[in-house]
Amino acid sequence: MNARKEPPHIEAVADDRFAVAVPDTAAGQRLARRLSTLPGCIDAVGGVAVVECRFDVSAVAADRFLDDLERAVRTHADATAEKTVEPRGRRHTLLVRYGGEDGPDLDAAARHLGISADELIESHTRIEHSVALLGFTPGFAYLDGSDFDREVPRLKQPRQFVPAGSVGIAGRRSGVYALSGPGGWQIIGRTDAALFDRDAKEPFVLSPGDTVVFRRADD
Amino acid sequence: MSPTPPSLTVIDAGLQTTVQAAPRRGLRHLGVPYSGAADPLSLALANRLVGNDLAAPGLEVTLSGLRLRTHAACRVAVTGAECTVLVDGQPVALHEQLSLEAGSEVRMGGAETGVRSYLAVSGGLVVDEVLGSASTYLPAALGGYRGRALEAGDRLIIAPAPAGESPRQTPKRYRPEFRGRWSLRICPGAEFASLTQESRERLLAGRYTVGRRADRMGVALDGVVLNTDSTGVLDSRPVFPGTVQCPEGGQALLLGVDAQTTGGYPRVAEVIRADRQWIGQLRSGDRLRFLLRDRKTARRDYAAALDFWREWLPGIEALI
Repeated sequence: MNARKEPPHIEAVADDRFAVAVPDTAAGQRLARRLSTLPGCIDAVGGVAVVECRFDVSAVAADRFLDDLERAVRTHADATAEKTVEPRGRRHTLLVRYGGEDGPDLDAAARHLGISADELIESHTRIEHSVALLGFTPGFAYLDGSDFDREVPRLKQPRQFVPAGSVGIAGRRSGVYALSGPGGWQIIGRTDAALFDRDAKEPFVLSPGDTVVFRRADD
Repeated sequence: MSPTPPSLTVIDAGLQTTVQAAPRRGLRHLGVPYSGAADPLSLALANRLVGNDLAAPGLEVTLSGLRLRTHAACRVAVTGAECTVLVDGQPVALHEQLSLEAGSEVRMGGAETGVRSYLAVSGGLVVDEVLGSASTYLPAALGGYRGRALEAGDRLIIAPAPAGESPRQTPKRYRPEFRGRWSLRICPGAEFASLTQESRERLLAGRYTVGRRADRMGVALDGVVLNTDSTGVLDSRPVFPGTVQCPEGGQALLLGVDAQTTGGYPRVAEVIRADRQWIGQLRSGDRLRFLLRDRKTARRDYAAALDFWREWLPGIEALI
C-alpha cells in the first residue's frame, strides 16, 4: 500500500498526519519540539514511542512536508547523537493532601498494590518523579518514577469531574491534573500548587523533563 | 459615567449554549484540545452574514434552543441545525441577515435535524481569549463566558459592529443540510492492521447508528462490533478530531473537536479532513457509513472542498 520512498520509521497515519517512531518518550518530546517548527506543521504531539505531526494540507504539499520531516528527523538524530549532556528540567516540590475528600481512591489503590495507605504515601513521597509528557487533558502531566511492583488499574467508571491539582495513579505512573477535567485515574491526593497560569508564555508549570517531588501537606 | 456597552441577555439557555470561535491549534503537545465550534462551517456562515471575521465569537446552541433579548440595535444571523427562529414572535429564516431593534426577543426552537445551530451578532461577542482563542472548553472551564455554558440572566457584551454592508443571505448552494444520513470518507488509521480480517470488512460495509453518547468530545457508533487483536489498553498515542477509536467493547468512538490529545485505544480509521467539519452535526439515531479513501485522493477531496467554500468564505481553511 505504501511502497514509496518513506523510510521505515515514518508512516502516514491519516491524510494530514505522519507518525515518527522514537526510542523513548523523552526523545519524542525533544523531537516534537523540533518538528513543531516545520513549515505547515499544525501540531507535533509526542506519545509513548511515537511523535505525530499534523500538517496543513492547505499550506504545504504532502510530499514537500514529508521531505522536510525526513530531513528534520535525520538532522535531529545526528545532533542528539553528538550531544552528551541533556538539558536539565526544573525541580518542583508539590505539597499533597493524601486521602479523604482530596484522594478518594487512596485506600483502593493501596489495596490493589497490596500495601497500606501509609506505605503508598511513603513510597509516593520518597521517589523523585519525572514528567514524561503532557497530554489527554490540558496540562495533565504523566509522571514516571513509581516503583510499584504491579499495575494500578484505572477506574471502571471514569469520573466526569476531577478537580484541578488532583494527583492520581494508573498503571505504574502518577499523573497531576493542572486543570479540572474528566478522568479514570485513581485519585490519591490533591495539591494547592498553582499549575496553570493562563497569561504565561508557558501556561503549564510542569513540563516534560522536569522533576517532581511530592510531600505530605501536613508534614 | 460611560455609556452602557451594547449587549444581549440570556432568558433561557436551553440544554447547552456556549460561546465558540476559532480552534486552539498548535497546543496539543500541552494536552490542549482544539475546541472551537463543533460545526465551524456554520459558525463561519453566520459570521459572514453579519460582516464579522469568520471566527468571531458567536453562540453554539445545542439541540434544545435558546431565548435571548437584545439591548441595542444589532444585526444577527442563525445557521446550522434546522430550527424555528422567532423575533418578537414573528418567524424568520435561517441563513438571513436579521436587523434587530434594541429590546427584541430572539427565540430559537429545538434542532429538527442536526445538533447545533449558531447565532452570530455583528461585531461578535466580547469574551476573554484563553490560550489563543475565545472558544469555551467546558471540561477545564477555559475560555468563553466564564468558562461555562450560558445560564439565564447572563449578559453578553457585543463588540462594535464592523463598518460596511454584509450579504443579506447565504446563497442556496452554501447552505449545508443535515438529513440524518451520512457518508463520511476515511483513511485507514495507524492501528487499522490490528482489526481482524472480518472487522476490516465490517468497518467499511457496516451501517452504523449514532449512539446515545454524541457530544463535543466524540460520538459513539452503534450497530457494528469491531474486534481487534490488541489486548487491553495500548500506550498513550496521539489522537485528533476525526480519529475512530476502537475500545475493548468493540463499539467505535469517533472523536470530535473537544477530543483529548492522547488515547490508549487502537486508532482504526481517520475521517479525512474534508469531512471532519460534519462530525459536530451527528445526532443520536442518525445513520452513518464509512467510505474508504486513499490518502492522496483524500487530500484532493479537501482541496476541492476548499475551492468550493473559499469563494463564499475566504480564509475558511483556518477553521476546517
